[in-house]
Amino acid sequence: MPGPIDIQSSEWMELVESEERPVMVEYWHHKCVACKQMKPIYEAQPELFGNEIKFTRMNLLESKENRKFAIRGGVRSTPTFILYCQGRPVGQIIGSRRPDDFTDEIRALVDNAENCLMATPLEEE
Amino acid sequence: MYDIAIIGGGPAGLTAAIYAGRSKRKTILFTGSNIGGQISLTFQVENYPGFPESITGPDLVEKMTAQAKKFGAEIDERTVTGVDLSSHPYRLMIGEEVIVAKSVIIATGSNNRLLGLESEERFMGRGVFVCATCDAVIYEDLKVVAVGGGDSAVQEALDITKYAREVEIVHRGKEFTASNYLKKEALKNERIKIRFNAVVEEILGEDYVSGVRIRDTLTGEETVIETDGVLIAIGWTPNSELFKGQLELMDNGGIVADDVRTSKQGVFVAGDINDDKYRQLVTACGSGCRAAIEVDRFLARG
Repeated sequence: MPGPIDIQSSEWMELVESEERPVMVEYWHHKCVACKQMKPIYEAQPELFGNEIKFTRMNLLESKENRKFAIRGGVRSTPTFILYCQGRPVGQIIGSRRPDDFTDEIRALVDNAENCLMATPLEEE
Repeated sequence: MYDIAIIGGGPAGLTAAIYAGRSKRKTILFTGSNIGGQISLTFQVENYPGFPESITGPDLVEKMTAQAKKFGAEIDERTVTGVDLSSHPYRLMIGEEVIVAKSVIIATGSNNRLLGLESEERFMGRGVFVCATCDAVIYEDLKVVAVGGGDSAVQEALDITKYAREVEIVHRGKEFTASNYLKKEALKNERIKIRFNAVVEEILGEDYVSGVRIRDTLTGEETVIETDGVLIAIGWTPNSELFKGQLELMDNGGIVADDVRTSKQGVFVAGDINDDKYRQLVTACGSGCRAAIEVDRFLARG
């Protein structure tokens, strides 16, 4: 299972909004110590959730556009992990966590996102 | 029973654990949830001798922890919830569990002092922040109010101007207490505005910070400054809550001590909890070392 995909704000439509699965986006930057602490923990998640969630991350130091995008989306601290369904935020985790707690919280967010999955157009029979 | 129990897993506590372990004393160190302490929030450590290429705070903590373990110190990530220093040997409570030790080194450090406003607590992480290194990037093209007038307030205000369009420093005094170099840098930075003799009365906003209400301490006049972020950099509070009623505390919350020796035999103090002057990584390590040597002498006397 590959690790989280690095995304740019310019790729939002293509990589997050048009995705049928819930998408997790980590807003982080490479000078943020809490982000560094969370890196191995976040990178271990795709293995645990399989294809259920798409894991991505956006580096806020990579471009001004990324920073402005995160600010508009309500990010006020790094790392912030926001789970989206077709681009709509359904829940967030702010700051660092111990590995098990982090996985449990993601699980709770996905369970919460069930109604959002129902809104996905079903294949016609 | 342990020879030495160390409370606090920052550089002071870890250095003490390295020395204590190496002296073959049965040692346990409780880190609590804030593993590594304040240095863990520092991205590049550039002034610690021996690391010319610089090292990150968490990496350094990891190395110090490995070194302490190598010499046999136990590192326990649980939080000490109570202490009983009224009789010897001393007792540490970790929830229901009790640990007994012949000596104790207190290295619980200090935390950012806060204004103590209800609105400050409500907006923490929603525009109110204490770590500029961590959160400055979130204020690209926005405005930030920095509260404080010492070295860290002015240094952090300067750092934030790399992103924010404007930083307004609000300081209760009539001039900065920061070093001359930083003062000059702040005064010549076009993105920095300064307001002296002003205190923050309330932080305003709905979901996120949208402003602060400040009061001029000379005229009593109140003004609202619109802002997206508020950095609180007004100093430090020693983490000495655990020792209230057990040890004599100073007015600032530090523990009354002669260097590392407290008024109780076998109880020592090290690191930033008792340092409002230097607060450096290397000075914390230095006092951790002194405490461990004093402990060793205390234990040798029996």
